[in-house]
Amino acid sequence: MTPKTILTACLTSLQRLCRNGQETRTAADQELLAWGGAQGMAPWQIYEQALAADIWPVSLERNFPTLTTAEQLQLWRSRVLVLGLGGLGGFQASLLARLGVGRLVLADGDTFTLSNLNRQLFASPQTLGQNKAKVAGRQLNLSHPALQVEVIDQFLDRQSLPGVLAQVQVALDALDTLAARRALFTTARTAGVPVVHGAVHGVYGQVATILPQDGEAFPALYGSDPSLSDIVVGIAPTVCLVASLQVQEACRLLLGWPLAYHRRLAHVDGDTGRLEILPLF
Amino acid sequence: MTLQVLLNASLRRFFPDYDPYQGLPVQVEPGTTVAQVVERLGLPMGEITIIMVNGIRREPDFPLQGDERLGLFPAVGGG
Repeated sequence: MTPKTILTACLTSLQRLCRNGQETRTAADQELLAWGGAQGMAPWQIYEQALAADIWPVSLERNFPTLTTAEQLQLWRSRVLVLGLGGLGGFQASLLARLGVGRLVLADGDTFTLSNLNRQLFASPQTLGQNKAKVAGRQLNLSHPALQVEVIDQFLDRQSLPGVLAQVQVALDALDTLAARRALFTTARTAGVPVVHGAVHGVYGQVATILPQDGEAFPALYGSDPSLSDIVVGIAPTVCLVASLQVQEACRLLLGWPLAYHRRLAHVDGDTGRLEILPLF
Repeated sequence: MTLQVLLNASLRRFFPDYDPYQGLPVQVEPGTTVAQVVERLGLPMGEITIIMVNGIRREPDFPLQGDERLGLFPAVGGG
């Protein structure tokens, strides 16, 4: 029997779902996990098998029909790197998990401090002093038990980035230093991995998508001799918005949808509420 | 002829009453470069990473007619 017929035969929670004139099926997450566990499957693999059999775990079914079952399966099979689990990265990781991207690599060598609480999703009085990537991975696995999370509790650099980039389809920039960004852009280009860049300053922010064939993108964003002596971070709503724009673009990348910010800079103006799209190259 | 200078993000701190919808009206002679306008406004050129003239990206030595929309963008780097 194929996985499809096995699943269909075994699941008592299986239901037909009609939405917007389109049809698919759902099954309760607990039953899927119990069924797959009995077959010796890891939770991630169970969801993969279910989606491949045109069965949505109920925890993801509201993505249908915005995503087709094939698209959800594609996202579930994707692996995305989040570099930095502070302001931008915390929201990014959470949104990726909600979107149903099945595999995340979370990298940050930093630990939470009290001053992170105004904007960093995983900062709380309980997580102070703990590594940001570890906390994010732990929290995400609580809310999304089938998610595959790899945690790297150190800052990635030019030496360590290539090995990590080789495993992912997209890298999200949630960094806060120009040196780290430059290292990411350079190594991602060599590794052939698209980067969705994002940065914030107060109520302002920016997003840009950089593909390997674009060449050296750093000077287009930061000039040839950049100095940010005084880095100002974003406030929570701006950070959340920029992270959200980045994840939406990552979704387009992963699904082959037309890109919104390739060769462009999306500038978020928190004074006027405008999103301005500038040509970057 | 009036140049409309549109300051963005942290560059707005140099003009406390800045109106982001109107920008700064500046009278300039044809041929004046972007860098000269930036200097006249007392803005630090080193902080400006993107220059847009009527929606096209330009360099600091770009000569203006004097009736354009000049957008100036600083680096945005926080995470």
